[in-house]
Amino acid sequence: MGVFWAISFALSMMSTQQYNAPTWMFINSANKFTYEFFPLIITGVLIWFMIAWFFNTRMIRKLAHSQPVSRKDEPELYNLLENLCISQGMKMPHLEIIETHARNAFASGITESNFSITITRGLMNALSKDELEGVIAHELTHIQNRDVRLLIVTIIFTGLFGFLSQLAWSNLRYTLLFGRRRSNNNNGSTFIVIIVIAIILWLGYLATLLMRFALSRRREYMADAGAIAMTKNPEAMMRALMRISGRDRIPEATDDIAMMCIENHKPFMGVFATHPPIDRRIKAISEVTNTPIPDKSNLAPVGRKESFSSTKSDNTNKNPWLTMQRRN
Amino acid sequence: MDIWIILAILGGIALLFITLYNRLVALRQTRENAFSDIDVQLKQRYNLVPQLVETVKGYASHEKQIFENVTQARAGVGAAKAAGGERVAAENVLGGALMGLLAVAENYPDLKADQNFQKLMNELSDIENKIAAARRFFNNATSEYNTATEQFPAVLIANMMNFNKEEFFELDEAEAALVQKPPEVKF
Repeated sequence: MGVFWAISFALSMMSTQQYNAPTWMFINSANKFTYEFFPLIITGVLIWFMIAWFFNTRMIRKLAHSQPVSRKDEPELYNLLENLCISQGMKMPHLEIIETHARNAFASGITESNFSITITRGLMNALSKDELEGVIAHELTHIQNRDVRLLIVTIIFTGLFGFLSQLAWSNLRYTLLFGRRRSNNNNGSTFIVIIVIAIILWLGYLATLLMRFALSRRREYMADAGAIAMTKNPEAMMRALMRISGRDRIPEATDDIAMMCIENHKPFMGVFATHPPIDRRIKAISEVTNTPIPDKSNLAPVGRKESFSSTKSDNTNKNPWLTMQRRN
Repeated sequence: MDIWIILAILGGIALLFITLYNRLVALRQTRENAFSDIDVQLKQRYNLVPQLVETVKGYASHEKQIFENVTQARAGVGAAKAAGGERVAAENVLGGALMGLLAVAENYPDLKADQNFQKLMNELSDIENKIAAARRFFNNATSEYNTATEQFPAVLIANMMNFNKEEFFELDEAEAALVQKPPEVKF
């Protein structure tokens, strides 16, 4: 609120264009501006916040086309998640699956009751059990670090700066169009002041935006580290990242979902990327844990035995070998 | 003026004392909660034992010694209700006895093919995995608590307020082997 008041004070100082007027006039004007618009903005933000708070699970489910699964649907996957949660002494998040060939996963939720982990079917089929454990541990670390909440806060801040800079910009255009007629003597200086303010706000906007991306990348490294602390298996984590690499795009989901995923690949956009490049992540893991990077060419496709097959019970009767493999 | 300075210092010390004390309490509580997590799994194993014994008896009724071992070990767990070293020891005995039972089961192909037995084995292996996971959390919590009671300013409070060093949940070797290689059915 203080920030808002200060900015509206500055705006009123520019827009009144009376430099010989006493300061209290600007203060009055700022107060008036604040009181007129603040309730409106606050209500808008609150409503948006409430919607996001109560319906974020459903919104994300709609955006990502995911569906919740229970122990009965995917016993092995469920068990994997359950055991990891027990070893961390944390409450088990909900488990959801997206039916797509893309390989990706994300964590979502704001409160303890609606934390959830979403995994694509492609990931389940392509990764072996220990690799999948690494990915799930990565997402669990995001939940432990409350990264989703942080993401929302940064989105609100970038939104605020974006809004204010737009306000300044429209003011600038207004002055450009109509300012000249009102007063000719101090027009130039006003113009410069507005431009400076607008530039500062735009820079602020850009800075928060870049901050957000940098923060997000930092969080990915932290989640990788947390995952390895959980599973004690850096080699499987590296293999998992290799397998995900280049196959992470979920065609059904939007950009906002992609930002939350374990990998969100954007070529040629270093500072705007939400995730560090995958080979740098693998290198970091390898250097910190002193494990050699697994050979990419040796990365054979996972056989049926180690992977979770997507066909659950339909072919167990037809093919006795499959049953045996799954039992073992 | 001097009085105020002395008061401020005393207040600071009191604040430090409160913070450290509360941290110790919180860590001790986490450790106790962690034990109850293990306890849930151990109780499930405890409840699974009679079924397992009955199933094996159906195929290998003359292995009396083994059944007696398991039943006694189970009774030992039931007797050691309080959490602590005694309970941990009793659970370890039960784990060892169960392993003996499984070793015997290896000799009976009919038993290994039994659907019910396979189901019980899967359940047991799942429970053992969960016990291992819960024990990891418990041991982490214990080590964090122990470290906190030994660090410098806190150690004074710990000694004053009876925050003792606590034991880890450790396995004896027989059970460690069982956990390393969860019981699996090969046929």
